[in-house]
Amino acid sequence: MNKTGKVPDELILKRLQSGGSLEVDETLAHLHRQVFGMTLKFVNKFKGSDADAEDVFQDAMVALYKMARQGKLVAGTNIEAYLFAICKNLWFKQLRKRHETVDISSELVKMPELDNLPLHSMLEHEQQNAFARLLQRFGEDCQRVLVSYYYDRLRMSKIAEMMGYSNEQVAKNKKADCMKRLKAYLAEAPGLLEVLKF
Amino acid sequence: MTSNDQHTIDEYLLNRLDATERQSFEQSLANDETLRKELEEHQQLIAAMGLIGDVQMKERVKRIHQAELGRGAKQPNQANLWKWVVAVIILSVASLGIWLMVRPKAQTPPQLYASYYKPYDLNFGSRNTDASQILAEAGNLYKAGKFAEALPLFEQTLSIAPSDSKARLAMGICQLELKQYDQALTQFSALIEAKDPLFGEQALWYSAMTKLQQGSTTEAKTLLVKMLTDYQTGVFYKDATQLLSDLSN
Repeated sequence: MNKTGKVPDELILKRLQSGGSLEVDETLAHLHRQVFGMTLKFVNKFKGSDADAEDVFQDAMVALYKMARQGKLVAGTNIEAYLFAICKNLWFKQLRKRHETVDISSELVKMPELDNLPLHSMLEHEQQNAFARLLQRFGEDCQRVLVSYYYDRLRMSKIAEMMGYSNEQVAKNKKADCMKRLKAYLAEAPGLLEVLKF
Repeated sequence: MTSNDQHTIDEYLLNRLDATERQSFEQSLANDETLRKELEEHQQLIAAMGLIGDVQMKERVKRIHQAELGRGAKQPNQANLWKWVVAVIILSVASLGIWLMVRPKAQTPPQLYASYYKPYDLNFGSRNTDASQILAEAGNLYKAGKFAEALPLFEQTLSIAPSDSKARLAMGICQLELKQYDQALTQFSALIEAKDPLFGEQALWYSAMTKLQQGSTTEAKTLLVKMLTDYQTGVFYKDATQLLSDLSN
């Protein structure tokens, strides 16, 4: 942190890209303190409730984290401004979905990278619940292995260490086994497969 | 296919192979149809993991959000705290007295049905398939409360796409609205038996509603208990808890 209390963007980016769970949580908490207030004002100004602002902000933090982990955030990005831009774009998407006629296009920054992100709040309640239940059915080990590899983008060696497996091969076998279970579950649920196509 | 082969597919899709590995993999891909199919499947599974990860990450972010809001909230000081405690006790006693005087008498099943029932709010997006276009049209009628007109279109959708659970749920609700109780229960039962991941909970709720409308409170209760057990994070959890309590009074 520098003298003005601002955490340098390079550090925020590095923590989001490759930090451990604690570092990521601290970084997200910092971003919350810096950006949530303005998001709330923005959403309130354009026909949204406090709950809408909370939802949009949380989705934006998820999107930011995901982009960082996937290497889609470049060095030199002003992370706080970027997060706020995501919030504004997401709120615009929600307004369109609700067929609201508010024009906030002048407030938006073009973000094509957001177009292909299937965002949580864009899913219907039942779809969100179905995916949450799917997680519960998985068991803790499968959840951790798959989410760490595919979502948090950790290397297999790191996952083996985290899970206490004797070597990387054990982690790969576990991953393959868990994926087989996921495949079987999705085969029983064509409705969930449809969601993945949007 | 070994777990190592599968891992190579994943690493390719996550863009982690070096140039030589990538080139070699792409050559194999060009010559091997099974590998191409496997790759497609992995793409879909990775997309699923993305959504599952989102659900988990959102929970984590919510916890951070709550913690940050808590940090900003003012804590009452000790002196004020006592005033608050006394005020809360007085209010609680007063509320209990008022409630005892005006508490509602036990409601009959049809009255409870009228209090709790409303058609489920479904979204019917349109995709470019015949079944989806019919479904979108049926959806517009459903949303407008034109259940008799929507019903045959939901039937038509299901004849083209029998596994469309949204159409099945909507069809059941139309039949419930039109007092075709046995037919409605058939649709809901199909979803319950299939443990439908999208609408299993809703099917149980509307089955309970149908039973309530028919005056079968014991069966309605059984369905509600099953729903509360199987879907603890469901959209009808609060309503079902309250309804069970009302049915027990």
